[in-house]
Amino acid sequence: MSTKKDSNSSSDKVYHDPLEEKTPTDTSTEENSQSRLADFKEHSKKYLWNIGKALLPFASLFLLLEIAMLIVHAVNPDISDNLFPIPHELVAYAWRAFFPGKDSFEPSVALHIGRSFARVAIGFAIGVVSGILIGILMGISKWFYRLLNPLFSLMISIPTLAWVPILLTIFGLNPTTIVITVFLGCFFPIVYSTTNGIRSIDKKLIWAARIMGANKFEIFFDVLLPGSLVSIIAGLRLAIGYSWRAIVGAEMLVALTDVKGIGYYIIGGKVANQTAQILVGIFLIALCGLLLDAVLMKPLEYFTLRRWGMVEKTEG
Amino acid sequence: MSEEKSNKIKIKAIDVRKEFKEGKRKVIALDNLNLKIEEGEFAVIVGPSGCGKSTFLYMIAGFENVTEGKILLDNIPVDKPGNNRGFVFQEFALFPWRTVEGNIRMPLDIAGNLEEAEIKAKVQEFIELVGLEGFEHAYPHTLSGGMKQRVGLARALVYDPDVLLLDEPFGALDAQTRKLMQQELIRIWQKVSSLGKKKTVVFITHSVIEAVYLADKVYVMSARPGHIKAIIDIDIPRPRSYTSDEFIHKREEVLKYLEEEVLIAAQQNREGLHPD
Repeated sequence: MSTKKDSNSSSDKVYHDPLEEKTPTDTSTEENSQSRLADFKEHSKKYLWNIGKALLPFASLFLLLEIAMLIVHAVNPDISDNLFPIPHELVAYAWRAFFPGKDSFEPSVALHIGRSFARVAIGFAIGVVSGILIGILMGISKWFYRLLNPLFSLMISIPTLAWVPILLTIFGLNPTTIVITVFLGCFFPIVYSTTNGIRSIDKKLIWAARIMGANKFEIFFDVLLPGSLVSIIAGLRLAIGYSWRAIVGAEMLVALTDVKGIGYYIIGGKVANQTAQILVGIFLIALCGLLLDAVLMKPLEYFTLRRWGMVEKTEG
Repeated sequence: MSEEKSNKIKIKAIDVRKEFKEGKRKVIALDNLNLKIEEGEFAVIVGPSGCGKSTFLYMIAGFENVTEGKILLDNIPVDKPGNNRGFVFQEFALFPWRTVEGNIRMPLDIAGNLEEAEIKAKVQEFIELVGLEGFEHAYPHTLSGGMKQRVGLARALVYDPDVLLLDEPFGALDAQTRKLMQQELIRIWQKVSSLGKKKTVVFITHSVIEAVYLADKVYVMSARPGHIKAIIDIDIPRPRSYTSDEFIHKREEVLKYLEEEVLIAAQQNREGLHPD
């Protein structure tokens, strides 16, 4: 026996007391996971539609800029096309940037963004593992909290890029410096959100586990960890953004041809007075951020917090 | 139903005092609290809000410590929580990441002395007992308040504790559901007491009707600092009617003791709002 689920309201549905009204529901786990998959598919479809809706303002912006730039160039024909590119030329420029052809001296921008992506991945991964571990220690131990919290509260307000000159002195002009900058950028928000997540768990949930006879180990894995996931996921989201901020700055400061990276590419656009190059770089970063959110954070959130009703349903 | 009287004392509070700090002020929540609850008794504690009745229950559970005095459970002082007691919270305190089944089986998983098949059977038995068949795989956020508390009850009873502690368990429910849950609680209590160990119940409420409907004995607590002001035996046979003469008579009796305390508590609250 299974109820035909109304796709729009299936997860908002609140069952009534069984003695007042019997509401049959799917009992087999298979059916359950199938409907969950259908739910997810439905959700993805909605998600794509929302991306479409989100792109709409960009289309109007594109059109507006196109007209504005055409007017600018018509009024003053001496203005350089390089400094004030016309939007539709940007598209052609982006194509050439990706596929420069065999006779070009410049490598494809894909190489730059690829390098940056790999560095973000490494720095972020190290930041997640160490940040969550230390965040947990600070969340469960008063002593760790007292020891580290004042220091970390101080560190979280320091812009990551302020460390780069010191890192350059220690590690030199190389990718290590960049990866460590990314790590520093995401480490502190992850520690902060993990610690806060654990410290703000409802005391009564811990009591409920304790009266069942749960030991510290069981309380940690059954209560503290899942209970702090809302905060941890929010921290990870923030950390991804900080990672990209950090990497662009670090790569601009390192700025070596053989180190490459999207930051290097963007600052190169400034050096060559190519505004189009800068804009293509910025657009690629935005795309990467969107991609990471869509393939990493959204599914993570969907299969945990949304399923458990721990976050409000939001559009988009 | 027939009730056999046993005079074994299950829970005993001796000169219990509880102080805590509220900002700079030292507050005496409980003072000179003495009480004895017999094995198998359904004890209901009523009192004005802020009289420390929940704090007292937390101390029986072992969530909080007594400042002075002793709380004895089977003649042993309570010092920490443990699975000889079950606890039902006002705001349910279900684990949102576990399904109905997952919540109910958690104490059995922790105890770790049953085979998987035994756990499954036990959980199913309790799901049926509280009337949640068909909702095994639902997550708590999809349930109504009454159903959440059914899960809370099953979770507190599934490991067959001697003592069931309930902290205003139906306070968050609407009036109809509340009445229904009172009847359900009596049914479930009688059923589990006949199947497993005899359950001693300590139930906290500020509703006099609820107290008289449920209790073997109603303990009226005073305004802060809280102590037991009166004990009223409710010897009305179950199932009880809310409208019978004897019910109304008992209700008036409890109310008589409680009303004075409510006035004192209200006075205290006014003073608290305007210090000096």
